[in-house]
Amino acid sequence: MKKIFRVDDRLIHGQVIEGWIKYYKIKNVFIVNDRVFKDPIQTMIYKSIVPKGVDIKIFSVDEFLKFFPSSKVSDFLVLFESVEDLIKVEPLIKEDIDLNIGCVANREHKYQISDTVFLDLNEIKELCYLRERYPITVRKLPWETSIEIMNFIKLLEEKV
Amino acid sequence: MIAIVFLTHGSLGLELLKTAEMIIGKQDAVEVLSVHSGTTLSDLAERLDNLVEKYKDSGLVILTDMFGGSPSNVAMAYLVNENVEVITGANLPMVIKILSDRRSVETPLELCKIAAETAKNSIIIAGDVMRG
Repeated sequence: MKKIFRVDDRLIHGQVIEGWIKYYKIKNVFIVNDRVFKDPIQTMIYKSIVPKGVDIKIFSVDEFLKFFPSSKVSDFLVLFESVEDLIKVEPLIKEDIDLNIGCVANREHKYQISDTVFLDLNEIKELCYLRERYPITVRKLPWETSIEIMNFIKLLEEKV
Repeated sequence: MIAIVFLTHGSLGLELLKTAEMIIGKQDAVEVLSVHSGTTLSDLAERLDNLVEKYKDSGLVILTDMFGGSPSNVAMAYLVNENVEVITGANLPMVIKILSDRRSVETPLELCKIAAETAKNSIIIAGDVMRG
């Protein structure tokens, strides 16, 4: 019974379907994203691509903050588009939830953390702060070795 | 003639096109977009916006590699446009069929139906054929 919060700016795609959902036999996928929540076409696309037998729900960040504490679902994969959105739901994070940074695409002034994760200094700072209290993995697939986000704290010190 | 956009993970689309061209010759009105690990999907959508506009009169088929993958997810948002269809699970027989028939077929949807049939029928366990 896995409980995962994952940052992935592609939300549901090949790595999530072939990797995380199959590997952990996830039955509940939640997308937490204000843009998709308001967009009926994006909602339809994501609902159509999850494997059979997997239940998918789409929330805005605010709706998820209300829904999650009373949810009785015991295995889930929650997908966030950005580190910023993950930080918004920090009050929901508990020790039995795996935090994973999977895919954050390259933009300007970003530091490459892994093959698929590029972060700016503020995102690194936020994650290091979170990492002091909870384990965080940085990897695109569940069977890969995780990269330690704390190793990037030097970047922050150099910039101070 | 219906235009074709190859939209795949990595260089698969480009290689499918190059290989098809080896067999049926150089093609016009074909475009190749690829998704890599660091590709921002909004940048990709911007390029697709331009291509959908460019080929709005001729019609456009977006050919992707895997249903559920990010190239396919990005492409599906364009199904709201008239004259755009998306076909997933590209293989070489499908690509050759789609490139060969796009002059004679009227609509992107019709072209995709023919291509999907060809692609499905192209998957053969060779030993079964040999053994009869």
